[in-house]
Amino acid sequence: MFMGFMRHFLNTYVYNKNQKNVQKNKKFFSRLLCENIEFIKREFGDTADLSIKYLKIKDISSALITIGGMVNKDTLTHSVMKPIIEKQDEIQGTTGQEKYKYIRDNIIVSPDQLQVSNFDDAFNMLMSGFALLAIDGCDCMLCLGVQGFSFRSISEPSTEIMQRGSREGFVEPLMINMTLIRRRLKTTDLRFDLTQIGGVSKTSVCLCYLNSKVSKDILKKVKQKLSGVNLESIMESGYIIPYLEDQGDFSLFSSVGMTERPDTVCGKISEGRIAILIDGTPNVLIVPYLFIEYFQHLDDYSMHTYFATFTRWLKYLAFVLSVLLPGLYVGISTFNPEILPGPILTKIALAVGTTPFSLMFETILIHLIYEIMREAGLRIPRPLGHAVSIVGALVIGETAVSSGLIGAPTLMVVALTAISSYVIPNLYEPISILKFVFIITGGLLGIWGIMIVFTLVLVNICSKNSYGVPFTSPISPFNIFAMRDVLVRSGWSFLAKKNIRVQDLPGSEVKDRNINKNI
Amino acid sequence: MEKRPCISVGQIFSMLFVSRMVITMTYGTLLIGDSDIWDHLISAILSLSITFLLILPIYKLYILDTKMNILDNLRDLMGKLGHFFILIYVLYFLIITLHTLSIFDNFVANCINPPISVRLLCIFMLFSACYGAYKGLEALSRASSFIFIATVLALIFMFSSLISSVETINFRPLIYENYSSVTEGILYMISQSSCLVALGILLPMATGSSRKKFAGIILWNIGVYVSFVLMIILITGTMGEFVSTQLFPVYTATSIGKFGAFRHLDSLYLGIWMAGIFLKTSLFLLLASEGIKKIWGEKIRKISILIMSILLSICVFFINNFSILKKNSITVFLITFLIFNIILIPIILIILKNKKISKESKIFEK
Amino acid sequence: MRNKILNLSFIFIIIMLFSGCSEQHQLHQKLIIQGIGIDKTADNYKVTVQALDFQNPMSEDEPSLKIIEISGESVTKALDNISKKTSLKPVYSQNLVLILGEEAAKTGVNNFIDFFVRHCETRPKVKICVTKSQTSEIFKLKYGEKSIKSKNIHDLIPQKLNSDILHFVSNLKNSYTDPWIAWLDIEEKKESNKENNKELVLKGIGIFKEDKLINLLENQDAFGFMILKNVPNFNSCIINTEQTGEITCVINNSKTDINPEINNNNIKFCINLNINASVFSLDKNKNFYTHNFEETKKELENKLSEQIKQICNETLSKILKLNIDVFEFSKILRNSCPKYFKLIRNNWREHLKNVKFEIKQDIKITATGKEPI
Repeated sequence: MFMGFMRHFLNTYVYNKNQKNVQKNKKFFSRLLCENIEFIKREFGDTADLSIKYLKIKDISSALITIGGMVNKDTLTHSVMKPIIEKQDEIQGTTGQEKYKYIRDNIIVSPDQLQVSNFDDAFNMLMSGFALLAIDGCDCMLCLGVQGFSFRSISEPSTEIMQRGSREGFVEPLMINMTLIRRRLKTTDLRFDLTQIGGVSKTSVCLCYLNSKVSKDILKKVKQKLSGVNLESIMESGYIIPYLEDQGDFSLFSSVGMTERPDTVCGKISEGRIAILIDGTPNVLIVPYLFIEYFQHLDDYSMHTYFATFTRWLKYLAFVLSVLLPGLYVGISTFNPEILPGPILTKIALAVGTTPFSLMFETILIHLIYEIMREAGLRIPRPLGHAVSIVGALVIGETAVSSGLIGAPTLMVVALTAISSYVIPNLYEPISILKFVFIITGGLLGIWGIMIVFTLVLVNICSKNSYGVPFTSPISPFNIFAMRDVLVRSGWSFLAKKNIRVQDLPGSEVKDRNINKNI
Repeated sequence: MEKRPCISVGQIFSMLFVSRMVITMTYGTLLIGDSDIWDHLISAILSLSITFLLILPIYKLYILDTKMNILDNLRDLMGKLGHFFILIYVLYFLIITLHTLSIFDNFVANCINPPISVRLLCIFMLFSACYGAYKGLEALSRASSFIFIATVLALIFMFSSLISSVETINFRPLIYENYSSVTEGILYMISQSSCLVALGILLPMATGSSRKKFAGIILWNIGVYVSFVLMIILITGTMGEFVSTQLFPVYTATSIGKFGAFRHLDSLYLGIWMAGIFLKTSLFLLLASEGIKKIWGEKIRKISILIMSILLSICVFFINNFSILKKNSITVFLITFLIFNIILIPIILIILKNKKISKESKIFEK
Repeated sequence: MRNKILNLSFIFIIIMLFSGCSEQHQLHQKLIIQGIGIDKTADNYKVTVQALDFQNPMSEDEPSLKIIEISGESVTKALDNISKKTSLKPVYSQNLVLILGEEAAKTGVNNFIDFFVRHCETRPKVKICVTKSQTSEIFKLKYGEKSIKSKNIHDLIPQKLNSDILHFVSNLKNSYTDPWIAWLDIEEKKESNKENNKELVLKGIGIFKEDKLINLLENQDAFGFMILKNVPNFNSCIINTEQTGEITCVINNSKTDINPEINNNNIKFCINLNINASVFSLDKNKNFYTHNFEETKKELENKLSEQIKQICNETLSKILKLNIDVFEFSKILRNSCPKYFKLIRNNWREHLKNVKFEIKQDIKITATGKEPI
């Protein structure tokens, strides 16, 4: 299957290249082997991993060019070199061209074969792990699929743990990832569109969608935006996220989703979304991505409806808590103590009275310490991880309070905020920034300032569109039918009644949407 | 072709409801003087029917051409003179924004007495609203749905927390003294109906059938006045004569209700109210900028928002020095302006439009 | 260039906002006022404030209660002096109770009540009461081992009595009605000989004529007032019958319905009392249950109703003699006979003197409990 995909990849790739025919200054092969080899050597410089094996096939010189480490030497020996050497007497023809044809059609047993006639294509093949067979007197080369580079095995993604469901996560090679999706959606409707981006890295990027579900308008826009990526190299999917979002539209919330799970991708593309697979990273991008999707987790759909609804609301609550709690705590305690019930007020006031800092400063400080520790925990070599947690527990948990530097209620608020933010890990980035914004406004302007800033953030979120679909849809613009998966997570019998495509959501401006009053 | 904002009928009316309710919540001695709140029950019912009459010209104009709002019509039918009238609308929206800010200023100064300068809070609010207006109608209308839900929840919560402390002995016979309170109430309520002008501009912008919009108008108005009536009943019932000692009785009423261990939830209501004020200020700044756009185009519109905010923020510093913002004069002033904007101009436009249509049909016949 | 200007103006706004920080008070720098007492001295007002003291807490978990006594020409001036005296910013939003000294109440509350109505932090539901003692004595009282908290005082005043700023001011503002408030006072415990043998009790009701306190009702009068105002559990009635001996009854709840009747310019109020009572303690020597139960209960009810009728009658005549309208008769008349009230309202006080009333009572003993031990 892997090889099959490779062929598919090659065909698509070369087809695309031929179609475009843009590289007018492409350099074509010469008939002289030495000239070709000379050019390749010059282009690659003295790189250590380029290996050229010269062969004599019935008096004609030929060369087998490979990149070390990217080919499987066994396959190369058994399916290419051995047949050529053993059967060289059988080779017919007089010119190099004729011999090349005979070897291609009758001798080599590798299933993946392709003919290239210019250096650009040849280099691409070479760097994708193909072996090139060049024969003197022939102006084309044979690419042989003998890839054999090693990659990480498929395992459960550590960033998206699920209670139930598949334990498979995406890996780095694009082809494997494509297989993982294809295996779950066995339909001819599933399409993979390959392109390359990145001036130097020439990273393969694959758009994956269901042809009958996807909006052609959105697809066109995504392709347009991808072709506008002017990066030299793409090491991670995060590199191209800014290019996929609306330009000039500043927001803390991203309208491009990211996942490491093939089952999530399948779910998303069956609602008309487009997945963008990038070679070399297990993170797959999903567009269009709406605000509500941050709270929808694949696990929700495998649980009981009542429990899934409960967890859905827990997530909303956790989001509100993690963003607003520290700000409200500071704002209310400083400006509006009348809201607090007596005993709570007393506790907070006593704690504030014993610490040297103002409540706002104290809260900012402890949040900063927490963020530093979180970052340290993330970057630190694993064997040292325990050290961080011990120091953290001691510094923040015990000593800070007992030394009287930080009040116990503040610590509790920070802990609650931190734990709440783990409930929706995808939103961690905006939450951590907003948290600080709200602490500062709460400390300076009280609950009123918080409310104004909250409304500002609300307007910011509401002003966002993700490929013509309002970011806040289907809550605002509202659709009662779509609430089956927002306010509650209805049972599958109801969810399956109608598949809502993303472009049909209320307020959508996508041109080829299905205008139906029900959705 | 200019991109039409995609907003639904529900969003428009939720936006207008919130804009109207924030003013209702500040209903009190500041704007109605010594007039009797209990008699305003009748004023509210009468105002409801008057409002329906006031909407007729706008609605008729809308029916004639469902794609064009008052500003478009002014530009198309009246040419250069139309530009002048558009500027009058812009001025009206700015005055309403300033009026809203003056209420906000008064409210904050009297009820909250914050440790920071009230003027600065006002300016902070104004510039935040400026951002809202800059982001456009779509963003505002979407945000309004959230604020609408919060407002409705707050109202329900307030009503249910107060209903147990209502004392029927406080309900006097209606119109016990004289009719002046009723007329004053009507004048006050109509003068605060600036949303009707907004309706004339927003109605054609919404997607949806005319029937849906008609239902929206009816529901919106009934919703506004029913909550008004409920509010009057509740504050009079719970507070009796105490109402007359309070500058903002609705706000005082919120501090009476309690929810378990949490008392004095007025600050929370205040938070929601602030979001509403934000929405109203943004909306009217945006409408003013729409007028500018009709004359000078989109680019100037964005700059004009900033310029208008700066102008308004200068005015905010002298907000209490304007005698026109005082009770009686502001009511008369606002009503005159309102009648001009939603009766006079639309009727002239209807006549011109009808002429144009008959002319066009004659040409077509020929 | 435009961006630079925008950024600069943004920074300017932020800096202006930060200027708020300088005036910001932290929670422990605020004086969270819990109770206020107002006394009148010869030519000054003495204000006693009970507040939470976070600067010198009793323990890690409990703040101490600070009692501050200040005086000034007016209550507002005295309260203004708090921050001068303590360097803390007073916060009135957590205030629970306002205690008026007898003298202060008698001179008229209009001199100071405005502060509690208009100040943006004070709340309408603050409970208000009057006392014969010095208010500072009440705040200094010990409650067990600790000092009495304003919360304890607040809880002593029954919710149904409506003895709060809201109702007080509402009746004060209405020119035909008069306000009333609870009367709390210090009593010495009879049985204990310990050092702190004083306790705070709800003694009765203080009734006002316009803004001045004119009478303090206690014992039976207060009991009658409470029944008419539907405040249960204030006092008990002792009934003595031949068959059952002394029986103590407690009013569980009462519902008063007042209807005006007008005959030849004579105003008569029919007061219907609907009372549920329960037997609280029985005579040890006589057995309540040996007799015909229903009959005895009936007799008991009759006796109780007679007693209550008498108490209410006395209370009402006493109050009406003072020519004050604490039972909101004027409002009732206004609501049911608006036209008539409009005619007489200018002479309402005159009419009030001649008001007749008739009490009809329907008393039920709902719980009799078990036989005596």
